[in-house]
Amino acid sequence: MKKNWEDKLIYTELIGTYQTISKSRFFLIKMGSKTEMKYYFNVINIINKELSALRNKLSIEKFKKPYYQLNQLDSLDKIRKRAINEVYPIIINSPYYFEVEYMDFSQ
Amino acid sequence: MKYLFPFLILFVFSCIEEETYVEQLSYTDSEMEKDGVDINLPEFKHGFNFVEIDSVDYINIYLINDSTVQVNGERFELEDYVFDTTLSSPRLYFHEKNIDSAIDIFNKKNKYNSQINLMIDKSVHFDLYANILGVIFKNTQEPKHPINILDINSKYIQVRNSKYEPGLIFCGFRGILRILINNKGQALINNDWNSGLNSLGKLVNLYYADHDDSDNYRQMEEISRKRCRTEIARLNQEINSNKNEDFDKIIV
Repeated sequence: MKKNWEDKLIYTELIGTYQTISKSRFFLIKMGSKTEMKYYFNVINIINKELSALRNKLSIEKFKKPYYQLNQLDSLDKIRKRAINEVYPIIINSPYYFEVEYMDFSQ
Repeated sequence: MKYLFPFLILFVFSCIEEETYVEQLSYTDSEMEKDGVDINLPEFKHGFNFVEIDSVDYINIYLINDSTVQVNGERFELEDYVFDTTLSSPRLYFHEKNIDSAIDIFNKKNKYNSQINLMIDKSVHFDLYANILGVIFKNTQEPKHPINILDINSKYIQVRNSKYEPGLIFCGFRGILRILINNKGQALINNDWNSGLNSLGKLVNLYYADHDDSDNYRQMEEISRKRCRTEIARLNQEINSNKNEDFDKIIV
Protein backbone atom coordinates (compact mmCIF):
# COMPACT_ATOMS: atom_id res chain seq x y z
CA MET A 1 0.00 0.00 0.00
CA LYS A 2 2.76 2.40 1.01
CA LYS A 3 4.79 1.31 -2.01
CA ASN A 4 1.82 2.21 -4.25
CA TRP A 5 1.74 5.75 -2.95
CA GLU A 6 5.51 6.06 -3.20
CA ASP A 7 5.27 5.01 -6.84
CA LYS A 8 2.46 7.49 -7.42
CA LEU A 9 4.61 10.23 -5.93
CA ILE A 10 7.31 9.43 -8.49
CA TYR A 11 4.71 9.59 -11.27
CA THR A 12 3.51 13.01 -10.13
CA GLU A 13 7.14 14.20 -10.24
CA LEU A 14 7.22 13.11 -13.89
CA ILE A 15 3.82 14.14 -15.20
CA GLY A 16 2.42 16.41 -12.50
CA THR A 17 -1.03 16.05 -10.99
CA TYR A 18 -3.00 13.50 -12.95
CA GLN A 19 -6.41 11.93 -13.06
CA THR A 20 -6.93 8.24 -13.42
CA ILE A 21 -9.90 5.94 -13.49
CA SER A 22 -10.92 3.97 -10.44
CA LYS A 23 -9.26 0.58 -10.07
CA SER A 24 -12.67 -1.02 -9.79
CA ARG A 25 -13.44 -0.18 -13.43
CA PHE A 26 -12.91 -2.75 -16.12
CA PHE A 27 -13.87 -3.96 -19.55
CA LEU A 28 -16.07 -6.99 -19.36
CA ILE A 29 -16.13 -9.06 -22.53
CA LYS A 30 -18.51 -11.99 -22.63
CA MET A 31 -19.15 -14.34 -25.51
CA GLY A 32 -21.79 -16.86 -26.43
CA SER A 33 -20.68 -20.49 -26.28
CA LYS A 34 -20.62 -20.67 -30.09
CA THR A 35 -18.86 -17.36 -30.64
CA GLU A 36 -15.54 -17.65 -32.44
CA MET A 37 -12.43 -16.41 -30.65
CA LYS A 38 -11.60 -14.04 -33.53
CA TYR A 39 -14.45 -11.76 -32.39
CA TYR A 40 -12.88 -11.53 -28.93
CA PHE A 41 -9.55 -10.57 -30.51
CA ASN A 42 -11.32 -8.05 -32.70
CA VAL A 43 -12.74 -6.31 -29.63
CA ILE A 44 -9.34 -6.41 -27.89
CA ASN A 45 -7.82 -4.92 -31.03
CA ILE A 46 -10.24 -1.98 -31.05
CA ILE A 47 -9.70 -1.29 -27.35
CA ASN A 48 -5.93 -1.52 -27.77
CA LYS A 49 -5.98 0.87 -30.74
CA GLU A 50 -7.87 3.55 -28.81
CA LEU A 51 -5.80 3.02 -25.68
CA SER A 52 -2.54 3.30 -27.63
CA ALA A 53 -3.71 6.57 -29.17
CA LEU A 54 -4.47 8.02 -25.73
CA ARG A 55 -1.16 6.82 -24.29
CA ASN A 56 0.79 8.19 -27.26
CA LYS A 57 -0.89 11.56 -26.95
CA LEU A 58 0.02 11.84 -23.26
CA SER A 59 3.56 10.60 -23.88
CA ILE A 60 4.17 13.19 -26.61
CA GLU A 61 2.73 15.91 -24.39
CA LYS A 62 4.88 15.02 -21.39
CA PHE A 63 8.01 13.37 -22.81
CA LYS A 64 8.09 14.63 -26.42
CA LYS A 65 7.99 11.13 -27.88
CA PRO A 66 5.25 8.58 -28.45
CA TYR A 67 4.56 5.83 -25.96
CA TYR A 68 5.73 3.03 -28.23
CA GLN A 69 9.16 4.67 -28.56
CA LEU A 70 9.76 4.61 -24.82
CA ASN A 71 12.47 2.05 -24.28
CA GLN A 72 11.63 -0.61 -21.73
CA LEU A 73 15.35 -1.25 -21.14
CA ASP A 74 16.03 2.38 -20.26
CA SER A 75 15.35 2.91 -16.56
CA LEU A 76 13.87 6.42 -16.99
CA ASP A 77 11.70 5.40 -19.93
CA LYS A 78 10.52 2.38 -17.94
CA ILE A 79 9.22 4.65 -15.16
CA ARG A 80 7.71 6.98 -17.76
CA LYS A 81 5.85 4.02 -19.23
CA ARG A 82 4.60 3.01 -15.82
CA ALA A 83 3.40 6.57 -15.20
CA ILE A 84 1.41 6.55 -18.44
CA ASN A 85 0.01 3.10 -17.64
CA GLU A 86 -1.09 4.51 -14.29
CA VAL A 87 -3.06 7.28 -16.01
CA TYR A 88 -4.53 4.92 -18.60
CA PRO A 89 -4.74 1.52 -16.92
CA ILE A 90 -6.35 -1.39 -18.66
CA ILE A 91 -8.20 -4.24 -17.05
CA ILE A 92 -9.89 -6.72 -19.36
CA ASN A 93 -11.27 -10.07 -18.41
CA SER A 94 -10.04 -13.21 -20.11
CA PRO A 95 -12.48 -14.82 -22.60
CA TYR A 96 -15.62 -15.58 -20.70
CA TYR A 97 -18.57 -17.46 -22.05
CA PHE A 98 -22.12 -16.89 -20.97
CA GLU A 99 -24.68 -19.63 -20.84
CA VAL A 100 -27.64 -18.00 -22.48
CA GLU A 101 -27.52 -17.46 -26.22
CA TYR A 102 -28.49 -13.88 -26.92
CA MET A 103 -31.13 -13.27 -29.50
CA ASP A 104 -30.20 -11.75 -32.81
CA PHE A 105 -31.94 -8.38 -32.60
CA SER A 106 -30.76 -7.19 -35.98
CA GLN A 107 -33.22 -9.38 -37.89
CA MET B 1 3.97 -48.80 -64.80
CA LYS B 2 0.32 -48.47 -65.81
CA TYR B 3 -0.70 -49.28 -62.22
CA LEU B 4 1.83 -46.91 -60.67
CA PHE B 5 0.61 -43.84 -62.61
CA PRO B 6 -2.37 -42.91 -60.35
CA PHE B 7 -0.16 -43.19 -57.27
CA LEU B 8 2.40 -40.93 -58.94
CA ILE B 9 -0.27 -38.29 -59.65
CA LEU B 10 -1.47 -38.51 -56.03
CA PHE B 11 2.11 -38.14 -54.77
CA VAL B 12 2.70 -35.02 -56.91
CA PHE B 13 -0.52 -33.38 -55.67
CA SER B 14 0.27 -34.14 -52.03
CA CYS B 15 3.63 -32.43 -52.43
CA ILE B 16 2.09 -29.15 -53.61
CA GLU B 17 2.04 -26.80 -50.61
CA GLU B 18 -1.39 -25.58 -49.82
CA GLU B 19 -1.48 -21.86 -49.04
CA THR B 20 -4.18 -20.81 -46.67
CA TYR B 21 -4.81 -17.19 -45.78
CA VAL B 22 -4.53 -16.59 -42.06
CA GLU B 23 -5.68 -13.25 -40.84
CA GLN B 24 -2.88 -11.55 -38.96
CA LEU B 25 -3.81 -10.25 -35.57
CA SER B 26 -2.34 -6.91 -34.66
CA TYR B 27 -3.47 -7.00 -31.04
CA THR B 28 -0.31 -8.77 -29.91
CA ASP B 29 1.34 -5.62 -28.66
CA SER B 30 3.91 -6.72 -26.10
CA GLU B 31 2.84 -3.90 -23.80
CA MET B 32 -0.74 -5.14 -23.94
CA GLU B 33 0.38 -8.59 -22.88
CA LYS B 34 2.46 -7.12 -20.11
CA ASP B 35 -0.43 -5.16 -18.68
CA GLY B 36 -2.17 -8.45 -18.25
CA VAL B 37 -5.60 -9.66 -18.83
CA ASP B 38 -7.00 -9.53 -15.39
CA ILE B 39 -10.25 -8.71 -13.74
CA ASN B 40 -10.01 -6.59 -10.64
CA LEU B 41 -13.04 -7.47 -8.58
CA PRO B 42 -13.32 -6.28 -5.00
CA GLU B 43 -11.16 -8.39 -2.74
CA PHE B 44 -11.85 -9.31 0.85
CA LYS B 45 -10.16 -11.48 3.39
CA HIS B 46 -11.99 -14.70 4.03
CA GLY B 47 -14.37 -14.34 6.94
CA PHE B 48 -14.40 -10.56 6.81
CA ASN B 49 -17.48 -9.26 8.59
CA PHE B 50 -19.52 -6.25 7.77
CA VAL B 51 -19.22 -3.23 9.94
CA GLU B 52 -22.77 -3.34 11.17
CA ILE B 53 -24.20 0.13 11.04
CA ASP B 54 -26.78 0.73 13.70
CA SER B 55 -29.44 1.68 11.22
CA VAL B 56 -32.40 -0.15 9.74
CA ASP B 57 -31.93 1.47 6.35
CA TYR B 58 -29.06 -0.70 5.22
CA ILE B 59 -28.95 -4.25 3.99
CA ASN B 60 -25.47 -5.73 3.87
CA ILE B 61 -24.93 -8.78 1.70
CA TYR B 62 -21.55 -10.48 1.66
CA LEU B 63 -20.88 -13.28 -0.78
CA ILE B 64 -18.14 -15.14 1.08
CA ASN B 65 -17.56 -17.96 -1.36
CA ASP B 66 -19.48 -19.93 -3.99
CA SER B 67 -21.63 -21.57 -1.34
CA THR B 68 -22.00 -19.08 1.51
CA VAL B 69 -23.76 -15.76 1.76
CA GLN B 70 -24.01 -13.50 4.78
CA VAL B 71 -26.99 -11.19 5.05
CA ASN B 72 -26.82 -8.61 7.83
CA GLY B 73 -24.56 -10.76 9.97
CA GLU B 74 -26.45 -14.03 9.45
CA ARG B 75 -24.87 -16.72 7.31
CA PHE B 76 -26.65 -19.01 4.86
CA GLU B 77 -25.46 -21.91 2.79
CA LEU B 78 -26.20 -21.75 -0.91
CA GLU B 79 -26.23 -25.48 -1.44
CA ASP B 80 -29.47 -25.74 -3.37
CA TYR B 81 -29.18 -24.95 -7.01
CA VAL B 82 -32.08 -24.88 -9.41
CA PHE B 83 -32.24 -25.03 -13.15
CA ASP B 84 -34.66 -22.73 -14.91
CA THR B 85 -35.90 -25.00 -17.67
CA THR B 86 -38.24 -22.42 -19.16
CA LEU B 87 -35.32 -20.96 -21.11
CA SER B 88 -34.10 -22.35 -24.40
CA SER B 89 -30.83 -23.25 -22.71
CA PRO B 90 -31.08 -23.82 -18.96
CA ARG B 91 -29.32 -21.39 -16.70
CA LEU B 92 -27.99 -22.04 -13.25
CA TYR B 93 -29.50 -20.08 -10.41
CA PHE B 94 -28.63 -20.34 -6.77
CA HIS B 95 -31.40 -20.68 -4.26
CA GLU B 96 -33.00 -17.32 -3.83
CA LYS B 97 -35.19 -17.69 -0.75
CA ASN B 98 -32.47 -16.78 1.75
CA ILE B 99 -31.93 -13.31 0.48
CA ASP B 100 -35.54 -12.88 -0.68
CA SER B 101 -36.71 -12.34 2.90
CA ALA B 102 -34.00 -9.78 3.54
CA ILE B 103 -34.91 -7.86 0.39
CA ASP B 104 -38.58 -7.96 1.49
CA ILE B 105 -37.67 -6.21 4.70
CA PHE B 106 -35.69 -3.73 2.69
CA ASN B 107 -38.65 -2.98 0.41
CA LYS B 108 -41.04 -2.50 3.32
CA LYS B 109 -38.87 0.23 4.73
CA ASN B 110 -39.12 2.01 1.41
CA LYS B 111 -37.06 4.94 2.49
CA TYR B 112 -35.27 7.12 0.05
CA ASN B 113 -31.96 6.84 1.84
CA SER B 114 -32.01 3.03 1.96
CA GLN B 115 -29.25 1.19 0.25
CA ILE B 116 -27.90 -2.27 -0.38
CA ASN B 117 -24.23 -2.92 0.21
CA LEU B 118 -22.94 -5.93 -1.63
CA MET B 119 -19.50 -7.21 -0.79
CA ILE B 120 -17.98 -10.03 -2.73
CA ASP B 121 -14.96 -12.22 -2.19
CA LYS B 122 -12.52 -12.50 -5.08
CA SER B 123 -12.91 -16.27 -5.11
CA VAL B 124 -16.57 -16.08 -6.07
CA HIS B 125 -17.35 -16.96 -9.66
CA PHE B 126 -18.56 -14.00 -11.69
CA ASP B 127 -21.65 -15.90 -12.80
CA LEU B 128 -22.82 -16.26 -9.21
CA TYR B 129 -22.11 -12.60 -8.69
CA ALA B 130 -24.30 -11.73 -11.69
CA ASN B 131 -27.02 -14.01 -10.35
CA ILE B 132 -27.08 -12.40 -6.92
CA LEU B 133 -27.43 -9.03 -8.61
CA GLY B 134 -30.26 -10.48 -10.68
CA VAL B 135 -32.09 -11.56 -7.52
CA ILE B 136 -31.63 -8.11 -6.00
CA PHE B 137 -32.88 -6.31 -9.12
CA LYS B 138 -35.87 -8.60 -9.38
CA ASN B 139 -36.88 -8.03 -5.80
CA THR B 140 -36.18 -4.37 -5.24
CA GLN B 141 -39.32 -2.48 -6.08
CA GLU B 142 -37.83 0.97 -6.06
CA PRO B 143 -35.11 1.45 -8.64
CA LYS B 144 -34.08 4.67 -6.92
CA HIS B 145 -32.45 2.68 -4.12
CA PRO B 146 -28.75 2.63 -4.90
CA ILE B 147 -26.89 -0.67 -4.77
CA ASN B 148 -23.30 -0.28 -3.78
CA ILE B 149 -20.66 -2.85 -4.40
CA LEU B 150 -18.01 -2.06 -1.87
CA ASP B 151 -14.39 -2.97 -2.03
CA ILE B 152 -11.97 -3.10 0.85
CA ASN B 153 -10.82 0.49 0.32
CA SER B 154 -14.39 1.78 0.51
CA LYS B 155 -14.25 2.85 -3.08
CA TYR B 156 -17.28 1.52 -4.78
CA ILE B 157 -19.02 0.76 -7.99
CA GLN B 158 -22.63 1.84 -8.00
CA VAL B 159 -25.14 -0.18 -9.93
CA ARG B 160 -27.85 1.76 -11.70
CA ASN B 161 -30.33 1.54 -14.57
CA SER B 162 -30.73 -2.13 -13.97
CA LYS B 163 -33.62 -4.32 -14.90
CA TYR B 164 -34.32 -7.99 -14.66
CA GLU B 165 -35.90 -10.18 -17.28
CA PRO B 166 -36.10 -13.96 -17.13
CA GLY B 167 -32.84 -15.29 -18.50
CA LEU B 168 -31.27 -11.91 -19.00
CA ILE B 169 -29.73 -9.72 -16.38
CA PHE B 170 -28.91 -6.23 -17.48
CA CYS B 171 -26.52 -4.70 -15.04
CA GLY B 172 -25.94 -1.04 -15.64
CA PHE B 173 -22.66 -1.07 -13.84
CA ARG B 174 -21.12 2.28 -13.38
CA GLY B 175 -17.59 2.24 -14.67
CA ILE B 176 -17.77 -1.10 -16.42
CA LEU B 177 -17.83 -1.21 -20.18
CA ARG B 178 -19.73 -4.38 -20.86
CA ILE B 179 -19.36 -6.01 -24.25
CA LEU B 180 -21.30 -9.13 -25.14
CA ILE B 181 -20.62 -10.87 -28.44
CA ASN B 182 -22.97 -13.40 -29.98
CA ASN B 183 -22.05 -16.19 -32.39
CA LYS B 184 -22.55 -13.88 -35.40
CA GLY B 185 -20.00 -11.42 -34.13
CA GLN B 186 -22.63 -8.86 -33.23
CA ALA B 187 -21.88 -6.87 -30.12
CA LEU B 188 -24.16 -5.74 -27.34
CA ILE B 189 -22.32 -2.81 -25.81
CA ASN B 190 -23.76 -1.42 -22.61
CA ASN B 191 -27.11 -3.05 -23.37
CA ASP B 192 -27.35 -1.54 -26.85
CA TRP B 193 -27.28 -3.82 -29.90
CA ASN B 194 -27.40 -0.91 -32.28
CA SER B 195 -24.14 0.65 -31.15
CA GLY B 196 -22.11 -2.15 -32.76
CA LEU B 197 -18.36 -2.56 -32.84
CA ASN B 198 -17.95 0.58 -34.96
CA SER B 199 -18.82 2.77 -32.01
CA LEU B 200 -16.64 0.85 -29.56
CA GLY B 201 -13.67 3.16 -30.18
CA LYS B 202 -15.73 6.17 -29.21
CA LEU B 203 -16.99 4.40 -26.08
CA VAL B 204 -13.43 3.46 -25.08
CA ASN B 205 -12.49 7.12 -25.33
CA LEU B 206 -15.45 8.08 -23.17
CA TYR B 207 -14.50 5.38 -20.68
CA TYR B 208 -11.16 7.08 -20.08
CA ALA B 209 -12.50 10.61 -20.32
CA ASP B 210 -12.77 12.94 -17.38
CA HIS B 211 -16.43 13.40 -16.61
CA ASP B 212 -18.73 13.94 -13.70
CA ASP B 213 -21.87 11.95 -13.30
CA SER B 214 -25.19 13.66 -12.83
CA ASP B 215 -25.49 12.71 -9.19
CA ASN B 216 -22.03 13.99 -8.33
CA TYR B 217 -20.37 10.61 -8.04
CA ARG B 218 -16.95 11.23 -9.45
CA GLN B 219 -15.34 8.25 -11.11
CA MET B 220 -11.98 9.85 -11.81
CA GLU B 221 -9.41 9.88 -9.07
CA GLU B 222 -7.05 12.84 -8.80
CA ILE B 223 -3.49 12.09 -7.75
CA SER B 224 -1.36 15.02 -6.68
CA ARG B 225 1.99 15.33 -4.92
CA LYS B 226 0.28 16.70 -1.85
CA ARG B 227 -2.11 13.76 -1.66
CA CYS B 228 0.69 11.22 -2.13
CA ARG B 229 2.72 12.79 0.69
CA THR B 230 -0.31 12.88 2.99
CA GLU B 231 -1.09 9.21 2.31
CA ILE B 232 2.53 8.14 2.84
CA ALA B 233 2.67 10.09 6.14
CA ARG B 234 -0.61 8.52 7.25
CA LEU B 235 0.61 5.01 6.42
CA ASN B 236 3.92 5.61 8.19
CA GLN B 237 2.01 6.71 11.27
CA GLU B 238 -0.17 3.58 11.11
CA ILE B 239 2.86 1.32 10.75
CA ASN B 240 4.55 2.98 13.74
CA SER B 241 1.45 2.76 15.93
CA ASN B 242 1.07 -0.95 15.08
CA LYS B 243 4.69 -1.54 16.03
CA ASN B 244 4.10 0.18 19.38
CA GLU B 245 1.00 -1.94 20.04
CA ASP B 246 2.96 -5.13 19.39
CA PHE B 247 5.64 -3.90 21.77
CA ASP B 248 3.04 -3.24 24.49
CA LYS B 249 1.64 -6.74 24.07
CA ILE B 250 5.07 -8.26 24.57
CA ILE B 251 5.57 -6.25 27.78
CA VAL B 252 2.18 -7.36 29.18
